[in-house]
Amino acid sequence: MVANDASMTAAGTPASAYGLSRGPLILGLLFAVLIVSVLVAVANGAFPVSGGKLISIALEVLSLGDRGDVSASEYAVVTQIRVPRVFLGILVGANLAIGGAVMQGMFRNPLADPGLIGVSGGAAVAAIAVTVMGAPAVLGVYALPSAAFLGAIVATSLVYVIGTRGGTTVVATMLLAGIAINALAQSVTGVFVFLSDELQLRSFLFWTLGSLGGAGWPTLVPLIPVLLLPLVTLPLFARGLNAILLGERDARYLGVNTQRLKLLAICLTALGVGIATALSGIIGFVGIVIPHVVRLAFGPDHRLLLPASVLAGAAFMVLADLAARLVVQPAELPIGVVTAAIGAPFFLWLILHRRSYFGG
Amino acid sequence: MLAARDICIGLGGKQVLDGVSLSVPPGQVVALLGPNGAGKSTLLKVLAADLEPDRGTVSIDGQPLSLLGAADLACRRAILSQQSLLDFPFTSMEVVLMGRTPHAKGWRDTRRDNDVAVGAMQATDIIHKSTQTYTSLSGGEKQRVHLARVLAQLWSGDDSAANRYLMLDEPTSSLDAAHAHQILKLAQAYARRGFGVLAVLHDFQLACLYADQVVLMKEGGVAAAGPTAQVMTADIIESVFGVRAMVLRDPSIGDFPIVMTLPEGG
Repeated sequence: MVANDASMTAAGTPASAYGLSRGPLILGLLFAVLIVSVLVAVANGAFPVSGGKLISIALEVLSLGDRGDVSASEYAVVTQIRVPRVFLGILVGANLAIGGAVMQGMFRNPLADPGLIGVSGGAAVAAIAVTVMGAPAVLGVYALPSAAFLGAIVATSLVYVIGTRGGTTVVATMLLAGIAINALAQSVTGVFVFLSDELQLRSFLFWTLGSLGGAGWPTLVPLIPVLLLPLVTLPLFARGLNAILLGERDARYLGVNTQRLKLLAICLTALGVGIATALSGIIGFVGIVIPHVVRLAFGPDHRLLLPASVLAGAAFMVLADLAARLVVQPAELPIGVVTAAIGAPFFLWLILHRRSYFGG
Repeated sequence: MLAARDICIGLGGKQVLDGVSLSVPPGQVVALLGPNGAGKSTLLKVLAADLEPDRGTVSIDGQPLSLLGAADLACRRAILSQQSLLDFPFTSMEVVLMGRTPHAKGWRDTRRDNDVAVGAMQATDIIHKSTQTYTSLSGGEKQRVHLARVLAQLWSGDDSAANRYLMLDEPTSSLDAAHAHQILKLAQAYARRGFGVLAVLHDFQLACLYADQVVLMKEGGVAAAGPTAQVMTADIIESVFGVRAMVLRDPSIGDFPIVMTLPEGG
């Protein structure tokens, strides 16, 4: 229609320099890294299992052969302990990382993480409340995770409701509401800490440092679809999140329904991170650092950032858990300790080597 | 025709727009001027369907805005905001490609999206910065990236410029004189090809040079509207802006009013 018809079709459009031309390659590589991480994590632990034995175990599980020279205890450890644990690690790491990436986009703030909307604060209050006061016996082992999830959802809903007026959510108000709700949650948590005995306190403290040790098929299986839901749906909002980085008004001018986007982003993030926290405690650092590392490496486009964060977060969590299991055998380190110990120095290294990204 | 009829809107207990009517015909540049607080920005938001008026209607080519879907509307009109909040390290090309959001099909940008973005960046004279990080650009360069973005947004599949409307909110405020002229010249060129252009301006002279029509707003209403030469007179400027003005004509320079504002009582 306009002036530059000739130049518009000019050859040498530097398409390769932009966007997603490398996307499939990057995602393929990250997927390969995840697969290797999973295999290493399944093969190693208190006692190593060789690759050949893993194949035998896989064949037996798939009813394609028998387990040959694999002992019954090796078989049980791999199929009932390590594999569910690695599965949990994948789902938790992926949800924390994509939740962080989405919150950073929605708040247009690279320092945002899911904790900002009250997910972990609310979960912590409920977790210690159940630890100190106990829960109906019928809930059994499900008491703490279900309470933590409920706490996460209640806190996030409060933050959302406070930040929303007349059908419009103001993210700046939400940010402030999040700070207030988190402070409130912390003070209530403090009251329960005060009321707790030493054993309860120790158990709560470990919960706040995170662990994938509670993984088992019975708790995990019903939650797999719920944990997969945010991973599959959030990437569909990538273009909208890109547009929101321009400012919400500019995003609306581009035809993006920003209110629906914010509501769904918050719901799905609270769901994924809430359940992840309920199952594994509070694992810091992943939600903020993994999206940053991915952005530094591959750019800020959410179409690549979101799926890449899923894969990188999953791989990082699986390897961090392997380290947590190996470092102080036969005991285990809390995984939050490991994620920070590995993640923080690496992040510092990145900051020092990519100053331009940080505007330096 | 982008047309607003009898728009009234109150914000925070104050009547911000009181019976404003305005139309932007295809092929023309309409400049919107007025003192601070006259309601220009609010009117722009109403025209952009970002603000629902209490009374009155806005229509694009006869269709009320309320009946158009968001993506549909985004393909027909684009708005260059006064300032962007973008603070993430996209390349400028990626920012321009965001303009293709309402046209998007699928995960990737198409070859055509790339071509459109390159064409828009050439038009706004920023193509040489296409691989640079947006956040590292100067204010004027950023403005030209965003202008390229809104042009890319309006680039239609059928290469037709008809029924497209471009709204510019103080597009020259962060630009040096050369680029200010360049941007408005470009807006004028797009108008000649069929765009309707509405530009909120503060500079009388730029309005006189590039606008076909001028709408002057004061205190939430339209104080004067019409062909540029008829509106930009010393009397009207004085009554609307409360500033002494002198309007000259000099055929040896060109066929447009030359506006000077003067100190009080001098």
